[in-house]
Amino acid sequence: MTSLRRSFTFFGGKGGTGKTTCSAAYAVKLADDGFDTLLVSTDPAHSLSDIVGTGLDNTIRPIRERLWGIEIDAAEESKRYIGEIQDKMLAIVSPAIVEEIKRQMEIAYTSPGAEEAATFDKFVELMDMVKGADGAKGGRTFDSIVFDTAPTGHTLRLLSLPEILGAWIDSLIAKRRKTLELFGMVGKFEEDMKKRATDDPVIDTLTRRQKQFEKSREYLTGDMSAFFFVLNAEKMPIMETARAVEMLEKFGITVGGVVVNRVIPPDAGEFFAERLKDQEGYLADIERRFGGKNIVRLPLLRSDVRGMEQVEEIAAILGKLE
Amino acid sequence: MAMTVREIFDKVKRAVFSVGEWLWLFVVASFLEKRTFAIRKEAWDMNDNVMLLLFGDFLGLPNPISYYTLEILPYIAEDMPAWQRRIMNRKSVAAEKAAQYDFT
Repeated sequence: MTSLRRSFTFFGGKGGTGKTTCSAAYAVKLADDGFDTLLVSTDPAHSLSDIVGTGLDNTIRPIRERLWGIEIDAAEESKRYIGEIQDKMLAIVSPAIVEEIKRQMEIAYTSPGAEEAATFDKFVELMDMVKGADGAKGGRTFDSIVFDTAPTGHTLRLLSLPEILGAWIDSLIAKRRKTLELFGMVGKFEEDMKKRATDDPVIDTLTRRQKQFEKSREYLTGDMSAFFFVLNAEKMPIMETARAVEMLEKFGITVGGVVVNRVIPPDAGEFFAERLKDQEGYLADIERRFGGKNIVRLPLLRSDVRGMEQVEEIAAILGKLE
Repeated sequence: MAMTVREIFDKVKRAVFSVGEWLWLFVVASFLEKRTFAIRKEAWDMNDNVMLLLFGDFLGLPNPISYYTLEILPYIAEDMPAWQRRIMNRKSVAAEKAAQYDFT
């Protein structure tokens, strides 16, 4: 592999199938091939540190040559976001009002979508750091970013709604503008509303968000991104992967292929004879369902994945994913 | 008591001015103010609707991007408590609609 046509690679799949291992292995492979690679974990129960053997946290840290890692801390991100809003609020409005609204901010902070939205924000922030992205602003850049764990249902819902969301924000902006226009007409009473008609922070904020949604959709649905699902040759992971693939494709996101992890080798011995027979059927099922895509089989290793040694072993096989 | 021409003139002038003032106030109240009143009412109603679209989740209406609309809060925070009182105390939508029209 000499050329890189993809900037963002996502690994998703059912819990325990080996997502983290596969994303680490793939990132190692990219780094070894000479690409500056960032490995991102979004799983709230991070296990990336355990695999790469380096302490990772919410900031980008080096792992080895050409490889960096970050474990997104959604709680910290959303706390920072809410904190910024509170600071801004204290600067703009009276403390009495802030006190009155604080409770509602707490509610928003703990609302179900908050952490996912925070993760999504961080996603876009990181994706901006890839070379050639419009957001790359001269800071640190990477050739490729590998995400451990695909965006969750909430994020996909955000992305799946660009037309609706776009139209919704459009109409919000239009309504806000109309309101300000009306206030402008009777402006002698609402002086500051009139002033805002030309330069409104609400419209600015909404417009910025709209652009962010558009951009992230561009990142995710173009050929810059591809998703890979990690599964085992077992019934439930296959079913779930099939559903997830269908959903992603409905949203216009490319599914690059599937990684069948822990495939039992034929010479595994007496104990596995029965499972081998089942596995035959499941592997055939996988071929049938995902035949049009890249399918990579990873054998069940002699030992569990304990660190970079096994990751490197897997990296060599995962190279076929390109 | 006989008034001088001058006094009579002043009195008439005052009377005319005062009638004029009343007339002016009448015009302002029944035409000019009323004209802007409709617009202001419309503006405030629309403002309330925008607020509802932005912060409906504060009232329990799910909003797909409530996390993101939060950053608008500082700019409209001053209006927030009053808006919530207004929107929570809506007694009759029909009466509100009727208030937009002038039946007098």
